Amino acid sequence: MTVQRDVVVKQLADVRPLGNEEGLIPQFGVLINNLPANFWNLATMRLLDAAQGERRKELEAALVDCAHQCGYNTGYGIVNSEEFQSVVMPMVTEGAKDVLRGAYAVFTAWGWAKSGIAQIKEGEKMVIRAVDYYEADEKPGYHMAYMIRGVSAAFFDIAYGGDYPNGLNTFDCEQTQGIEMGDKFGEFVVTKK
Amino acid sequence: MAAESSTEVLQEILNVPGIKAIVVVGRDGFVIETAGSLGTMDLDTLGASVAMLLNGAESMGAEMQLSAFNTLTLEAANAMIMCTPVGDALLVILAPDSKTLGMIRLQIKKTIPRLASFF
Repeated sequence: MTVQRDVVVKQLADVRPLGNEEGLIPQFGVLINNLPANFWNLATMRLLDAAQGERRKELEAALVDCAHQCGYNTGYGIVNSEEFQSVVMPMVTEGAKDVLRGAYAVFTAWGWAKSGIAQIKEGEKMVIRAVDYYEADEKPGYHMAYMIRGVSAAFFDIAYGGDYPNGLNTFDCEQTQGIEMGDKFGEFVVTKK
Repeated sequence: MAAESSTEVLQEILNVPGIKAIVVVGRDGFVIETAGSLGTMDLDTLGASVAMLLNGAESMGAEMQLSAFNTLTLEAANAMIMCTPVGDALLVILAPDSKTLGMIRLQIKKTIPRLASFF
């Protein structure tokens, strides 16, 4: 037995977190928000188009870092949430590997990216594939799934990077394929920094 | 020379006469990659079913004190499905019948080590 993602997706897809009077959603120990995907895509592309050369590289690193920090703190909140503990943890039989499988099932259920683990070498490397993600709605002529890059590195940090909050930035993630570039799927490779 | 991709290896397997489609499924039921003609099949449901099958086979194997399974073959009137572990995932071969089962097995045996480096 291992984590069955369809069970997780079916149970969590119906959860509808409610916003507070400021429009923010207090969940998983952090504040999350709910904005249209094309808002994020447009903001990302305009920022990138405005930056050239070295500035563009810095900007790309900053976009990944935003997702990395967000994914680390939110991801930690998610795996310690009541929802995760009651839905995913009873199916965990392979330790951190299964927790990661559950994390990607949650990631899918809540619409961030339909994604999962293609390969995992515990504590060393992880390959993620995504067949549907919001950055894939655009065709910018470059890889732009910065969110999945940052969050994937963050999830591996949580699993193998040492005790929270000291494990942040242990791992890094590169995008090797992207639907936004005409590939069949997005592929993301997490390795040690 | 560029390194080969899992897509290329799957296409190579697909060249064996009789194979209609190939699906690589993670142990959690995530459909990692597909090749060939899957028609209107719901891949999420297929992935979940394969994961359940794998769990069932492993539970049965553990109960009967068998070592890890190598191949699981399901034959129906109009289909043959063969499942083989590849790395941490499962390679699922779909064929309309078992006429070329021998060739399929041979090709799988030759290709698994290459595919295992991706999953």
